[in-house]
Amino acid sequence: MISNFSSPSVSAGFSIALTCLGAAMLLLAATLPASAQSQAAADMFEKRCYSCHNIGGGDKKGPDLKGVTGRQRTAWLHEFIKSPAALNRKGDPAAADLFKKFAPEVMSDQDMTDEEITTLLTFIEDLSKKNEQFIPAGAKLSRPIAAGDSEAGLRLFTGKTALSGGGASCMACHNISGAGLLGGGTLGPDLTAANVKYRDPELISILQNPNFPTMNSVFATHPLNDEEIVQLFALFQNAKLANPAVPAPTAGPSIEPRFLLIGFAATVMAIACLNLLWRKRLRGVRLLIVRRRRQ
Amino acid sequence: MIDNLVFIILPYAAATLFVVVTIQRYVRKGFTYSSLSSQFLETRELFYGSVPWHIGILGAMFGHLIGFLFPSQVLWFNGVPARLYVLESTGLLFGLMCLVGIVSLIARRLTSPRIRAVTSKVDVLVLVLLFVQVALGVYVALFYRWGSSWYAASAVPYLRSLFALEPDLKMIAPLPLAVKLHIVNAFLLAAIFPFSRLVHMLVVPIHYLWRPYQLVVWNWNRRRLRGRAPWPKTETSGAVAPAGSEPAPSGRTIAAR
Repeated sequence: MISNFSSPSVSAGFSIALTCLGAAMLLLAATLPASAQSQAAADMFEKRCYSCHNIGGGDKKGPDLKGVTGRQRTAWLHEFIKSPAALNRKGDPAAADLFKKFAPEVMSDQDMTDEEITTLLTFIEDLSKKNEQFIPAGAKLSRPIAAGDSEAGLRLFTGKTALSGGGASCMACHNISGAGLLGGGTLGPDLTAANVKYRDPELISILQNPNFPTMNSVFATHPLNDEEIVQLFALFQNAKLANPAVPAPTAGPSIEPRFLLIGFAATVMAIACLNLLWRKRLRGVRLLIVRRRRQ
Repeated sequence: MIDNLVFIILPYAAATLFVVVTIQRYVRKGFTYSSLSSQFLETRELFYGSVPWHIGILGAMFGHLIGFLFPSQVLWFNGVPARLYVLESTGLLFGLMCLVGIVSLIARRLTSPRIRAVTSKVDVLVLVLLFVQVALGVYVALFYRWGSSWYAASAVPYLRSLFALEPDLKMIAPLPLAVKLHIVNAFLLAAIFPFSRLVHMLVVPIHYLWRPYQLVVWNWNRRRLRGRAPWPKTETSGAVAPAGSEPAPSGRTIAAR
């Protein structure tokens, strides 16, 4: 950049001044990295790790990463982050323990470079040393919750209002109390008690960057907008309040008896109708012939 | 590694077999393109197995095809919970019809000695794979709801990536095991397709629906002949009667499809 400006057409004085300015900027850049890099690392942690991990805030879907650099070797951490399942398959005892402890959650392979992982681990180490807790800077609502947000959130949840990014509505995979007669989906967890399980910044951060294995691939290209995040957050805040009796979601898939009953009844009716429709099939002509032969 | 094997190599291997062997079999052994009907050997149980099976499988496969071709329209349709429930219940109905059908067909093949006599190893394999496929499909529909929506959002991008020759496993890697087995089993079915009775679906005589009526001419008066052979008895019984021999044709004509 500097060499571009210091072309012969520019006066010598100006050139020297620019060179000095450039040098000063370089010096500044050399002294800045600590905070700038840590900001970048914090952003990365918030976007890619915070859905499942805390630093100092306790276990979530995955373990609290406070002091993780003291617990494991750097090479091990790099290998694990890149492909947890591969390390587990190799029979690594530490990986096996983690898989066992956090089952059925399986951390997906992270498409990260060694530099990115190093930045991340340095950030975690720094925070752990300072005994600080990670607080996501970006996990804030764009505006305060207002009346009607929860209802609007439910419409987004069920899909009555389409998501602006074109993503599938929450109901495809999740249930929440009030989601309809047969409930919402069961591929993902029930979200009725989401605000009990997660603290507010955690929940907001998940809505911003849903970095769970099943969700990140779908929503990376179909993110929620700020307004949708406010409304869905309002819905999650209200869901448990409105239905305190709803039990905590159980792990593993479950069956909806009414859905099974509908399917069963429809099948019985369909087969009965077919029987009625074809009750004379293959009977009339052949029986007649057989009877005639016998006469 | 195993994911690459079953979700990248297997589908392309299956597709290659499907296309190459299907064409080769049609060209070389076109007359084997059949499900080798066993209706002649046993018809009653066949009817109660075959009809629900075929109604169910046509409906279920059509549903999968619609989701594959028009995923965003399916998501739009499912935007109203009542519509989602109707679609899901219809899908479950087709799945259960398949299940009733395939279980009847398996029972028939096991219990009827005549059918067992004409059963090949591939027939058994087809029945087993189809049963596994349907059972997994119904299980997924019941336990991992709502499949019509998440299939459109999650599995369809993977299937489309296969067709685009840029396989992308990101979307399906985290899906439950039952869903993955359903997908892998579908590839296996595609792979054995050209070696099995399944080829009959390529030569379904749907032109029967619009072809003209066929005239069946009965060349003798059956009523007069009752209890007698329609031709004079000769030494070589069963020989074709000479033209113009007794009895005279009655000229009865029956229009039949």
